[in-house]
Amino acid sequence: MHNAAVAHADGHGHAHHPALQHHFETLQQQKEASVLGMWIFIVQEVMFFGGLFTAYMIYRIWYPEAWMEGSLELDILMGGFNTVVLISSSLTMALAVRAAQVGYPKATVNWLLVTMLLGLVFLVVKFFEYKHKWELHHIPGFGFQFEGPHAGQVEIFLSLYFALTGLHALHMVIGFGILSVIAWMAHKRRFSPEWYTPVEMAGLYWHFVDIVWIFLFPLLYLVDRTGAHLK
Amino acid sequence: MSHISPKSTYYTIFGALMVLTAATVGAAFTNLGHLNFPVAIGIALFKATLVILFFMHVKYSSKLTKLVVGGTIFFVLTLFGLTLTDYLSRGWMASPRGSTTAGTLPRIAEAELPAPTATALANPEALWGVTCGTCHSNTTKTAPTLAEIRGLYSTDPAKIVEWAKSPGRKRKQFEQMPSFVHLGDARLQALAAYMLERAEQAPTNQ
Repeated sequence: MHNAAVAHADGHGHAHHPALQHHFETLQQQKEASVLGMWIFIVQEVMFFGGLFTAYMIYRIWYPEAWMEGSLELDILMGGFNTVVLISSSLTMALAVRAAQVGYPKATVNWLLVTMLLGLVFLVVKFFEYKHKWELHHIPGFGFQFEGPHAGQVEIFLSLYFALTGLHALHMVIGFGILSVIAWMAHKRRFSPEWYTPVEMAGLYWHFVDIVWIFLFPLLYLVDRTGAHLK
Repeated sequence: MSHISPKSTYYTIFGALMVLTAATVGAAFTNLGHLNFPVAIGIALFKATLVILFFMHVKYSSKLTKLVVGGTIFFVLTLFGLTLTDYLSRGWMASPRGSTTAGTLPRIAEAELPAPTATALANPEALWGVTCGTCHSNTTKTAPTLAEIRGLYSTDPAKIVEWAKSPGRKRKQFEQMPSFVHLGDARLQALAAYMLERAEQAPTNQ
């Protein structure tokens, strides 16, 4: 063990891929470990969002009318547009990973840039949605105003709306940062078909954030669009 | 070394996700009664599954990764489910007039109630604590507040007695109140008077 380290220190006494760490036998084994580790991280993310989803679920059971009224306050066009944008960004992310797998660094960079652009579009739309809520005094705790018999409960709905979409947006911002680093690495030709683990891990993160939105969209924007309860 | 999906797979999955997004919006604008929520969740679960299997490559991952992903879904659904067993079953226990919140409020046997003596009726706080007071206060979120009740009945406590004997249900967010007819008129009148008195004293959350 000690000898191996010495051999390594004086200019690689043994040959292996530069990305292979010493505690792994092969790149394949190393990648498996990375994938597993990333999934364990996603597990705790699921539990993290799970707490908020539980709060959502229980309040929805308690205050069904307020959930319908609150949901109608959200702009379905903006929410729907953002859903399309985010799913598209998942496609471009998957294509970026694929380009890395087959060894097209230029395509990897380009798909990553498109993914980041779509992420940015999502955040800009979200910003205008929040701004609109601000103008309507629909920000819970900041001079909240709402016309209707369940104003206090609609405030709870909107609190959960801001908590869930706010945390989701924070994940998008972090994802944007991660992708910019990965795109830079790809631009510097750090990846090859033998080793592109960071691209794949960033992909797992980005797709997870997409999945959170896949649930948020129907749970927040589509509670009851028929308005049946108002009749 | 790793599975490389053809581009066509990604485009197909993307197409399916778009169709499913349109489907969930369409379903939301259709009145399916109680099915609206299960349909929305079903579509979202299906979309998430497509993303996990194909975009996240779990279909081609090791058994260990599949186990972790499957385990996550299992445990998060277990946590939702166990929480719901509590919140959805709170109204199940029998009460004088059908289901009630007061599943947690067993009907008190006549023998255990304080006898309606003049002293007991003049000071109904103990009785209040095991009857009205278990749900109604000025800060409660599970039943109308004392302030609200006072606003409705301050001039007519007899209406409170009437309601307590045969409660209606005005709002869906509160569970059905159980009947307290078994307490008898004397106790109910004392409680009604005490309720209005308490409504003035108790702190409010306004």
